[in-house]
Amino acid sequence: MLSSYVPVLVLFLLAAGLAALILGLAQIMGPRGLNAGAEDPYESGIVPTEPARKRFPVRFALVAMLFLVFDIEAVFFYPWAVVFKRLGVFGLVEMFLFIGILLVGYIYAYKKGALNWE
Amino acid sequence: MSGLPILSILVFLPVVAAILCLVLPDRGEGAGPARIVALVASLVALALAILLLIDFPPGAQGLRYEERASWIPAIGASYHLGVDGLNVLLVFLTALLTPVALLASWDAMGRSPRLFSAFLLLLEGTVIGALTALDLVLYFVFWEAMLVPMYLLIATFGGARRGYAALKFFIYTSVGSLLMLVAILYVYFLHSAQNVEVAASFDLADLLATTISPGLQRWLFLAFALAYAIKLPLFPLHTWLPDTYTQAPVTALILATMLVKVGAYSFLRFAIPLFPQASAEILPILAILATIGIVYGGIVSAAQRDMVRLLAFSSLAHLGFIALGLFALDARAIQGSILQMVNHGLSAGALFALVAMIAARVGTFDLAAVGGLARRWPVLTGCFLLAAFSSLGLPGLNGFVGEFLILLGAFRTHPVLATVGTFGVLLAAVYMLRLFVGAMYGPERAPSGAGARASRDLSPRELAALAPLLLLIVWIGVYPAPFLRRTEGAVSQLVTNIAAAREGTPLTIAPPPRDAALTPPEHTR
Amino acid sequence: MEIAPPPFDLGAIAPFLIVAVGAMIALLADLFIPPARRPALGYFALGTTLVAIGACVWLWGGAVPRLAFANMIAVDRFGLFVTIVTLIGAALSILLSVDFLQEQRLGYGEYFPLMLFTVSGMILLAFANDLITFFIALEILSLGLYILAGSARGRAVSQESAIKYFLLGSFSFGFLVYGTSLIYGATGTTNFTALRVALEGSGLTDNPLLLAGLALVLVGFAFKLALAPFHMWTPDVYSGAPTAVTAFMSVGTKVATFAALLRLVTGALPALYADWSNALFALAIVTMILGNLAAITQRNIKRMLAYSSIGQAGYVLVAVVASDTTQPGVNDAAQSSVLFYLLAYTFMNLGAFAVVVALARPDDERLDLDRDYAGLARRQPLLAAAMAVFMLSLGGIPLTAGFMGKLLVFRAAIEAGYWPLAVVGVLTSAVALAFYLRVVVRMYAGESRHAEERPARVPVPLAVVLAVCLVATIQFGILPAIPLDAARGALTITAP
Repeated sequence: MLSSYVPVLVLFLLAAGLAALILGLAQIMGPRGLNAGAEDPYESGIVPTEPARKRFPVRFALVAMLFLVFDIEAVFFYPWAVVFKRLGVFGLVEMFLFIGILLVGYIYAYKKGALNWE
Repeated sequence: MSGLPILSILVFLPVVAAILCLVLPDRGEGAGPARIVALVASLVALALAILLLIDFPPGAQGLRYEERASWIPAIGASYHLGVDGLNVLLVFLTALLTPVALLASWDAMGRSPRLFSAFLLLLEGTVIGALTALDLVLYFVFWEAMLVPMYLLIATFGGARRGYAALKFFIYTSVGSLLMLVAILYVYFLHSAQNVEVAASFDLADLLATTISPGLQRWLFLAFALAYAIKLPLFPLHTWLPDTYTQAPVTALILATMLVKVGAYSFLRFAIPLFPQASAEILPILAILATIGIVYGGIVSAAQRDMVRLLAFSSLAHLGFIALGLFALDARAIQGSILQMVNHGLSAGALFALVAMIAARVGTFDLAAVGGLARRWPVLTGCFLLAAFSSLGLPGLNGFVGEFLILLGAFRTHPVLATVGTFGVLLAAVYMLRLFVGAMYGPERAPSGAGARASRDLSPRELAALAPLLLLIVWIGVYPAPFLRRTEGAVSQLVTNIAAAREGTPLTIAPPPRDAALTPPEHTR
Repeated sequence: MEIAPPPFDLGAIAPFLIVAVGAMIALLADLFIPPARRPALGYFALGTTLVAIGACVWLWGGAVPRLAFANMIAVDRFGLFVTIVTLIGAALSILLSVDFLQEQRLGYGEYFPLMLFTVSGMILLAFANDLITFFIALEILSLGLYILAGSARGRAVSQESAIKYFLLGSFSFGFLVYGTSLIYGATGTTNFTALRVALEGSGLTDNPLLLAGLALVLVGFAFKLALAPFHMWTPDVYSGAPTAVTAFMSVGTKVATFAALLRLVTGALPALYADWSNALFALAIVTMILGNLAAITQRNIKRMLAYSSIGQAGYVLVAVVASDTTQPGVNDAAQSSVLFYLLAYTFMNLGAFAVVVALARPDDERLDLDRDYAGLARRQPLLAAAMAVFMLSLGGIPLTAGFMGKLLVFRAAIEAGYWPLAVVGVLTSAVALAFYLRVVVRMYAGESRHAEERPARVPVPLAVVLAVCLVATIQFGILPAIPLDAARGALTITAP
């Protein structure tokens, strides 16, 4: 039954081979020695305009996390809506419970000021 | 006496009193009600132990005052206590040494008399527990538990290197014990595998009926023997003893000598009866170690300047005698060993107490720094003389009876070792006389600054502590029969059983009738 | 197509629901009460755990065992016993935290809600009868702990602890998920009951996919339980986290995760006994040796207790190895000793941490063995005596719960024929005495460095914790029959 894994093995070998090929080519053909550009962080070939270690407000992270939570909620709504009729009252109650739990999180985030930008 | 759970009282009265001591307050340096409570409790226990000893019929075989109760039914461990000729004297001795130790340390309990007396009482309770337990789990519990109060005594009240000594003592003595635990469990499963129809049991009487192949016996016996050899201690495993004894509070040692005797007793109660074939094979080797211990202890002892260290090594030599008697597997030698355990408890107890009393007066244990004390304190000198003579085995005192019986028995089975051991008696004379003469005679010397107390001879309290020991030293020396006859029945039964088991006939542990008629003594001394 | 919703057996998960709802209420209440009243939340959390214990007792007497939620949850006395132990640990940890947080100026924040969420994860873990439930439960419990470990926000060590715990925890989840997927690939199910049925008498037991899955899941468990050689995170995390949190996670996580391990290997994979017992055998030996040896060199009490908890886990593992379901007598002895040991461990370990908490000062946590514990017996005799009892118990000295636990564990090991485990166990116990007793020696023989200062007042909640732990440690050591019978009564691990 292990034979069914042969494609996986082939893929693995291909990936390894490609990586080795690219690294090898870079080794052979790439320019030698260090210049100012080589020490800069790699930004798609564009000369960096400012240092990459920049601090940015933690609020971005907060918003991202809140977005994630409520986005996932929305993701759950779609399949639920599709089978809503077949689930009946049980489905309704379940979804309200789910929303209720999220609501607790929302109230928490709101009161903690996570949504205040200033 | 029949309805009274006398052994349980002997175990738990000290423990309860110890807990009471812990709650009582300390009043300043070395005062407070705790030590009085402790003394009263230990005297009550002593009274009970004397009753027990008197009531114990001479020559009786089999167990008396048995107490049995369910404890951990899930694994078959029970609460089972009992005494017979093997342990009755030792129980009495433990109960005797506790009030003696309390009296001797009355003013020397350091910062906290309540802790000191509580630890001493806990030591008494756990030692009596280990001596009387007949269920192997219960026994192991007490066996390990008696290390704790001793450990705390050293760690709290010991000398300058007490931390190191306490740790060494505990770890050294528990390494062997833990392997014994594995061996106990092994025997337990062998027993339950062989007796599927009955419930699993840790009871000694049940486990004795287990058939164990000789090869396996050897391993299991070694696991038990390691624990006991460390505790005794036998020659190469003795290194914890001098450190422990010199760092421990000296007056606590009066009782602490019982710890090592539990090791000796355990050979008789557990290791030898459980594994008779293996013990027949291995005991002669151990007997060699015991003999080395006699000689080695004697020689090293003779070279000590520190009085406590000298006594520690002399204990090693005496314990070698006790071990030699046990390992000879001869009825007389074993009786002598049991008596010698008592004797050593008396003489070493008295000597440790006396050394503590001297040190309290002159402020040092250094033998080279003291001398000529006989002129100042004649009573103390007299007591010291008696104890020292008992320790070196002067005929007419107790030490002689024990050593004589041991050598008599050992000559039958190990003539060479017994001959070598006899030299140990000579060495004992050397170090004991050196201690006695060095401290008591010669030019009068004592470190300066020995205060007003230095001029006083023994106080009534100190005399009260020493009197029972000295009395028994003379009594056993002159008329040992009441003590010997109480050990006779159990020892002869043990020796017969072992001989039977060694010849391959199955061991019969028929419980003797409860009120066995007193067997007339075959030989009275 | 009609979708039949699974029966809604809320009563079966009552303890979980109580704690989860309590956590949410606490979270909301936290927003609306003034900061000065925050300690009340601690007592609310305590009440929640006590109500949950009540629910467990109610379920214990009721119709158990049963499966619920499409066999994802198994409500049996095994799970209930573990839940009760976990809840006791949680209740004591909450009591431990109330004054600690104030004194250390850590701020209450979301501490108690998070603790309750974590406890709800532990409860779910104890009842999990499916690798998926198990995984979710472990996530709930871990996420809370990651944050709790970092809750001393001002301290770098606490943050380091949280980050390390998070990274290593996620790493171990990777193993668990991958192993779960391989097991699913081999057998077509993740459900414990279904796994057992699928493996019984099938030719699957040699399947490399299944064995690889088992190995990966065990590695995941080893990370979570801090079994050597997967223990490297433990000392840093334990010593960095606030002491009250460390106490909680060293007890609750271990108890619940061990329960889940036992349920997985004996409830779902008895057919693979030879494989997992060999793997755990090796882990147990390495864990016992490494944990106890490494603890010897520690001078920081929290690090020492961290290594000690690694060693203790090794002893529990010994009994897990001996859980051979083909021999019912042996299996009963082994599993009941696991339960008993976990119960004993909860009390003695929490007790030890309670003493550490009691000694902590706002400016100085007082963790150094040589500096802060020396001479403690003189300054605070009661605290020192309590610590001595806990150390002796952890070291396995008779008349304490720890001894009975070790006795039962080694007994089970020898009965199952694993006498090498018992020998290694007793030898490492002797080694362990070196560092447990060193604490006692320091306290009783050392010279105090803080002699001039007034002894700390021990707050009432902390005193309650100490008293409960002390009584339990001694009582279970002298009269172990009651908890042991309860543990034996709880051995209904395989639901019908």
